[in-house]
Amino acid sequence: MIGGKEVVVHAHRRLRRGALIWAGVLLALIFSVMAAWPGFRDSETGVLTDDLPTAVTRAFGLSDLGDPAGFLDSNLFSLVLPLLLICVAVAWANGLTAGDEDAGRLEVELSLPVTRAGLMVRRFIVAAGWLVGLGVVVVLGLLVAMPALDLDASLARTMGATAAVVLLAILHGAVYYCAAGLGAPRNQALGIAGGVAGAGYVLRSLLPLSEPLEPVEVVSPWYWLLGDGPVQHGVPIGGAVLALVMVGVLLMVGNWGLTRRDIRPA
Amino acid sequence: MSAVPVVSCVGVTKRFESLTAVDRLDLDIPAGIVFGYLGPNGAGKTTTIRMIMGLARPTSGSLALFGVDPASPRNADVRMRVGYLPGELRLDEKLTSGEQLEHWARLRGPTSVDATYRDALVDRLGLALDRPVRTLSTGNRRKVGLVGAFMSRPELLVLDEPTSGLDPLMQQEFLSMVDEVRAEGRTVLLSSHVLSEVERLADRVVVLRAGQMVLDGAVPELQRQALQKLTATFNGAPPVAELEGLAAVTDVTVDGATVTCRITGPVHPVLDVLARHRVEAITAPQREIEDAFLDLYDTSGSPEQPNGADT
Repeated sequence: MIGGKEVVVHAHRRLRRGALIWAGVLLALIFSVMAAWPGFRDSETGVLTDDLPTAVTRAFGLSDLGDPAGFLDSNLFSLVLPLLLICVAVAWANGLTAGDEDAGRLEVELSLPVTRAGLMVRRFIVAAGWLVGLGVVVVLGLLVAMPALDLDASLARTMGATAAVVLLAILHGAVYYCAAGLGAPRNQALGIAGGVAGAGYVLRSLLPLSEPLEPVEVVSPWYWLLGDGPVQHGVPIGGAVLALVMVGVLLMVGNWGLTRRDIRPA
Repeated sequence: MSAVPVVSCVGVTKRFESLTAVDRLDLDIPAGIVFGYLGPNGAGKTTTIRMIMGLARPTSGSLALFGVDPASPRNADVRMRVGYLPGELRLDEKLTSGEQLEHWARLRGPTSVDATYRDALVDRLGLALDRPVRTLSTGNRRKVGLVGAFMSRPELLVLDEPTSGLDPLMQQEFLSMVDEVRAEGRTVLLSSHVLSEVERLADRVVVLRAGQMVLDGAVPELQRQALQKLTATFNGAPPVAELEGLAAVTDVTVDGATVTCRITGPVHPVLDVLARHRVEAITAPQREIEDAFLDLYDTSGSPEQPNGADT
């Protein structure tokens, strides 16, 4: 596509400042969470949670708080970090797709010799690249904080957990992309992506509180990628592959819709 | 010059749910002319333009830009030959004017824009390239859009309300720019509410009403369609009944000894009546395109679309 490089450079420029701010936010989050580790390590929290049903401790991310891997899963990888990165992914997808369309900025852009799908996929790839960059920042933050606070968890599993969380965020960005491609205005697309994120969390974490409903967790992207705790038990490879396939399918469906509909005027 | 029309519409209809924005439009725009596209808000001008640019698809009928379907992803390259200024121009607020123009130029490809020509346009329009877009007035934003549309010397310029927000000096500069484009044998599709602008520039005019073409012709033809106005001042009582009795006379109004009317056919019966009375003064202004335009709309009430949308 003519101008493909410019699409990438321009999208990169648009996201750069926000990405640096988010990197700072994530580092602050990591250091503040990790600062609590010595307290948990030396406390009797395990005794408290041992009396709770497994489903409840898992639902609220309370499992094995005195264990390094359990601490990381409970305090970072079960909710806070995925939620933040999903917000970033959806906000970026919004700014680069439906948000831009609703603002009328695609009117001139798409009158130039670029294809709709070529423009949008490149933008999405740039956003996904920045999310991977944020994942690297998370890993670097953990690499500094873990030895400093004597938190001895598997580095490989911690990196795998970070990758899984980044992929979960990209998947939700792709949900937004698909909705926007099919013609949803920004608020609707935000609602759809937010709904998928919320439903996914509920399906994985809260519905299993009831034993008969536990099997439904397999339809949740949170379950595909985070399993029973990515640092404690590792990232489910099958789930990660499924998530990657879903990202591809969502992008294709989004592009299919985008090329067959009218671009909304300002 | 290619024999293929620059733009060709065959039975193009565009519906938005119950609203028909464009209704069975047949249109060919040959190369090398300035094509005036007229109609009030909601007539379907912008919808047609968006279909020409491939931003919207016809509900039925076929539309070709330089002989190909502009909405097909396979034909994205055809837009290399087009410069477009939308009616509602939205720029990237984080860029300066110069960065916005650079961005558009790079999207067209590295050799698509002659920097010398672009700088000449910037100078002519008095555009400050280092000013952030968010600080620009409506008129200055329009200038950014105009430079962006003209700077690649496209074969077709599609301009939707191009002088909206421009001061009179810049409007004159714009007229000169379009004259130059025409002199180079390039084509301009000019949609405008400023009838004098269209009258001054257009070789051919199409008027839309409620999505349908109601007139297609050269500017002189459109002027001929306008009803001739005539004002006569009498030394005594004006012959109102006699004038009203003529089949070719309409809209007779009287103000003391002065009568104003409009003439739909031959003028000589009116002159015969006037000759039989003592006329002190006669005024018969040149027929303007604006009169023809208003006449077209007077005949069928409001042409506005039901939801008032700018279609």
